[in-house]
Amino acid sequence: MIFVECILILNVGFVSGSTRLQSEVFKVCARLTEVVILEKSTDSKQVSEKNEEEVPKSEHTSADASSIQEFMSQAAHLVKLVDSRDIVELQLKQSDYEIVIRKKEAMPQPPIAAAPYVTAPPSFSQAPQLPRVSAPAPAAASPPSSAPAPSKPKSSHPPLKCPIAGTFYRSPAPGAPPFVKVGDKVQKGQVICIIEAMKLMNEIEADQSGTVVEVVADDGKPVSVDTSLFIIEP
Amino acid sequence: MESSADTLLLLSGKSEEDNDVAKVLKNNNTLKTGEGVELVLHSEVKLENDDAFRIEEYFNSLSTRRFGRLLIYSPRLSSTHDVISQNNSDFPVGTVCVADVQLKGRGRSSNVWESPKGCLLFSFSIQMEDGRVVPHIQYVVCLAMTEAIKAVCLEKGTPEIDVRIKWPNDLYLGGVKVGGILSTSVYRSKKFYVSAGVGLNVGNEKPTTCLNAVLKKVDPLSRELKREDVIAAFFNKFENLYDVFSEQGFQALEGLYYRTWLHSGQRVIVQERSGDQDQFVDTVVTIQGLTSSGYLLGITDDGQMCELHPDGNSFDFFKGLIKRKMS
Repeated sequence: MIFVECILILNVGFVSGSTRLQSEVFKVCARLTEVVILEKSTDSKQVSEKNEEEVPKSEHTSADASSIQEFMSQAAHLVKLVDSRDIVELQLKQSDYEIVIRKKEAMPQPPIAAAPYVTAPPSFSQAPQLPRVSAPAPAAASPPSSAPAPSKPKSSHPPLKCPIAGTFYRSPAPGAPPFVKVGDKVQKGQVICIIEAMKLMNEIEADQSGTVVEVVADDGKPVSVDTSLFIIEP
Repeated sequence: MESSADTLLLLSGKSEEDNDVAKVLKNNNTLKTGEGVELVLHSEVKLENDDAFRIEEYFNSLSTRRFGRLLIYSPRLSSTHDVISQNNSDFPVGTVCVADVQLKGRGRSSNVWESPKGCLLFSFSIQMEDGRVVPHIQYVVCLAMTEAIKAVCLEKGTPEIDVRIKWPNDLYLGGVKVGGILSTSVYRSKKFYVSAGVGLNVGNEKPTTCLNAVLKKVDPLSRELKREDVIAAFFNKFENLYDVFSEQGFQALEGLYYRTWLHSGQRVIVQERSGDQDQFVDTVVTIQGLTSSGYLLGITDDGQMCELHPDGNSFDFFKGLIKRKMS
């Protein structure tokens, strides 16, 4: 079986009038021929109670299987398109809906000890609130806000970013002192951390000389490509 | 204690051009080799040891364009991996270090690789740019070695031996470990300088078993495999597989990989975080393959796909796997 061209987060937000009603985050696994919804979660922070009351549920649940299927196949097509190109993020606005496709590399890494693992069986009945592609509604609005941004660096200097997904280690071995700490002067080319990826140890060298002003990533935690690791002031 | 004062590193190349590179490396005298190590050109010395790695035989069997063409050979060395990793950015891509015996052969983290006479021991240099595919290089190295062993057996007319890959970086024969791959990398100036090391029990029955012992068991009259043939075949295979991997991604090698590894359909017990506490629940998962990021892809009995991560503590990767939702 050929599986997993990529795993993508499909962030589907839709709007009614100028008011943002709901943001559904669907985790979608793209296979070669189909799209299976693995998990659905509602980002409750983005749902205003008032709006929820005002909108009859039936409006959302009216999407029938075939329109969902149609939507999903269009989405799957886009997912494949993004996957086949060197694109990390695609945002598309069209009449009443808006779709953002981000490759995994573009997403901030979720914390390791995350929420309980709640799974929904891969079934369309689990996604009654998919927008109908053809449903008329005024287009408008702000792009859906994505998952929380990675912690903002305090310094204005650009952070040293992680080149590879894996586990971030500040010291060469368990119990050993860290390669560098805040306040340390480092030379360009000095090893400042290790990223372990599938038992492959990658020593990361400082890309410039300067002073470590912040260690952004947490020791022993997963990091992904482009996660900020350190801030070094020249 | 062994003194390292008599460690000899011999530089040689397959072609005239490769030998010129060897000369430059020697004359520049910038290689980090540790104390008491003497760096010489192969053409300058004569080795008298019958058990020594036969450099000419190796180069004669080698048919690559890049990999394995510049050789650093040592009869006795602390670790081939250290020679490559400490000098990786000074070496041309594909430079290989071979030793007959290692004093401190490296295994994962601080483990030691037993490196007696008869064991094929080498490390070589690779340069990569895309961090997303760097972990997969270990799988390509494993695959090149299993393909190389098949090819040598076929060519030399020995019985076939079925060396398989135990994910992520071990080689098994008949349920016994006969080889291991160790890769490390340094990220410098936007490039990954990868050092890939291989230890393969070709002729050494200790500490587990070796290819030649298994061949003899199958056919007492079988020819023995020679280290020179195996490593040359390795680079011949590796170069092709690496080209496919670089151009088309690991997906293009997945079919071959799944036919060679031990795990398709394997059922493993994994731990799943339950609740928001550090409690774990055991779940049975069937291994399906690899995810795009190179972890194990599993499916639970009720059809959920999940990615299996090692817990980082267990020596055996298949103990203490942690199930993570696909994200």
